[in-house]
Amino acid sequence: MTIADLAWKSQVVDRPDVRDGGFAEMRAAMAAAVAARPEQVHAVSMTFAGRPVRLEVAGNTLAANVMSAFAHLIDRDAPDRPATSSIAFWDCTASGVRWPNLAEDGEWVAQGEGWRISLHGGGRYLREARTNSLIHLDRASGAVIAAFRDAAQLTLADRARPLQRMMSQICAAFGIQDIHAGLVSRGGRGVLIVGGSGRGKTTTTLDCLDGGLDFLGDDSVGLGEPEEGGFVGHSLYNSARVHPGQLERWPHLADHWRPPGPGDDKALLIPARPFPERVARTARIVAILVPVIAAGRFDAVPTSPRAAFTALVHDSKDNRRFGMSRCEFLRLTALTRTISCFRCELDLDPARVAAGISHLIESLSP
Amino acid sequence: MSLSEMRDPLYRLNEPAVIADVIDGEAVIMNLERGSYYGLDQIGADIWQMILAGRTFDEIATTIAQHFDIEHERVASDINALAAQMIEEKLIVPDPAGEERVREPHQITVTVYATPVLTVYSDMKDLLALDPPMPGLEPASNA
Repeated sequence: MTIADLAWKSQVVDRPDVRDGGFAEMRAAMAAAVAARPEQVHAVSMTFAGRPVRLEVAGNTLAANVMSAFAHLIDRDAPDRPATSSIAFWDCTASGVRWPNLAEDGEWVAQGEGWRISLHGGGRYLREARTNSLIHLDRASGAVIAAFRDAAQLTLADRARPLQRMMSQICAAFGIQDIHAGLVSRGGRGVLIVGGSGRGKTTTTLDCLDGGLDFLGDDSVGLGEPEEGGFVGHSLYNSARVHPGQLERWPHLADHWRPPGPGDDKALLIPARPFPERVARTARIVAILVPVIAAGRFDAVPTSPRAAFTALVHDSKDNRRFGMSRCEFLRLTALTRTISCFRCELDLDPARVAAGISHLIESLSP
Repeated sequence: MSLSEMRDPLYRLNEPAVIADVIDGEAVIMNLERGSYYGLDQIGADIWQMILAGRTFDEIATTIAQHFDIEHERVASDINALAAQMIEEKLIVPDPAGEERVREPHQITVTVYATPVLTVYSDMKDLLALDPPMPGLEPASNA
């Protein structure tokens, strides 16, 4: 079966014979979880990539974790706003409702140790089955239904970034592209921080948060192309993770770190807790910055688009699981071709990093 | 494969497995099936673009040799080696219908000739598609 054979067509939506890979059964199980423990159901309206989404979580522990990560996207003033899509989670242990036992079929399958990914319904429905979770995505609408065996067993990584392994596909369903980058902004104008793991993205973004800039992400950001042109960054997660040895760099944040637990190697920060006014949802991208680990003084100097592209793509190889489409590749080449690209050395003084990036934003013409 | 065996056929981009673009005069190429990422700069980027524009290797060698006023033999040998590498990496494939393509002009961008080098990064399997690659959907819309 070729890729062309699996191209999704809109007619699939109304065809009763289309196999959805268990999406309907997951929806039914979610409804059962909601009914089983209604006192543990939390439902809010949020804005994801500029679109209204209903977030529903069954299970208090699960809700506490998920809603922290998405807190900055929740619209508390419009709880009943009509939504164009939905994201639903339930905790099997808390609700007593197990996820459905589904056939291990699929029109396309990839699997490894402890995980299996499959496509169903002409490519419309994506299913990720793991030992402790089962996640379904409707790639047409962006609707997600996720079941977790026991929210109390979630790692810090899962709490910091729920659905991270599926996020690139969720973003695609919403018309944006999940990229491995940090994003900070001032006055709605953002600087994308790019580079592989351990190259200074989180350090740079937290320097900026601590120094008064707005935080939109330290490692994962949604890249969009608005109709009026240019590029917009969408915040996906209200979280940052760093190795414990780095925490002393930000004494103002000392009381807000959650230490690593079993299976984790990094501490977790929810930026909205120390600085609720400094977490933004979107920013127009005006610059790309490639940090370089060196004990120098922050100085943003122009770098080639090719260097920025390599930092964004090649050095980010550990963060993508579903590959890159032609459209996504060309979006990134267009991004690095049209947006001013800079490199900088990581300064020992976080304040100089924040001041330097703030100055960079001001210096670039609107 | 020798240049004489390669010189006559026209070649095209090995789509959809390979995607490529030119950024600031440098070609960036990704082979989704192999999990490899490539870079071509300087005259290599010009050669790449001329191949995709429908020029034979011999035509490209002649154009470059005349542009820089250097020996055709030297340029042909360099292109031979580069093309063999591109074919080995499956970045380009023969184009039987190439004669029917409209040949687009290409302006050489570099000012100095140097032996073209195809830089290969082969450590991107985790980045690129799962095995087999997952079929994509067209983007819903721009945000």
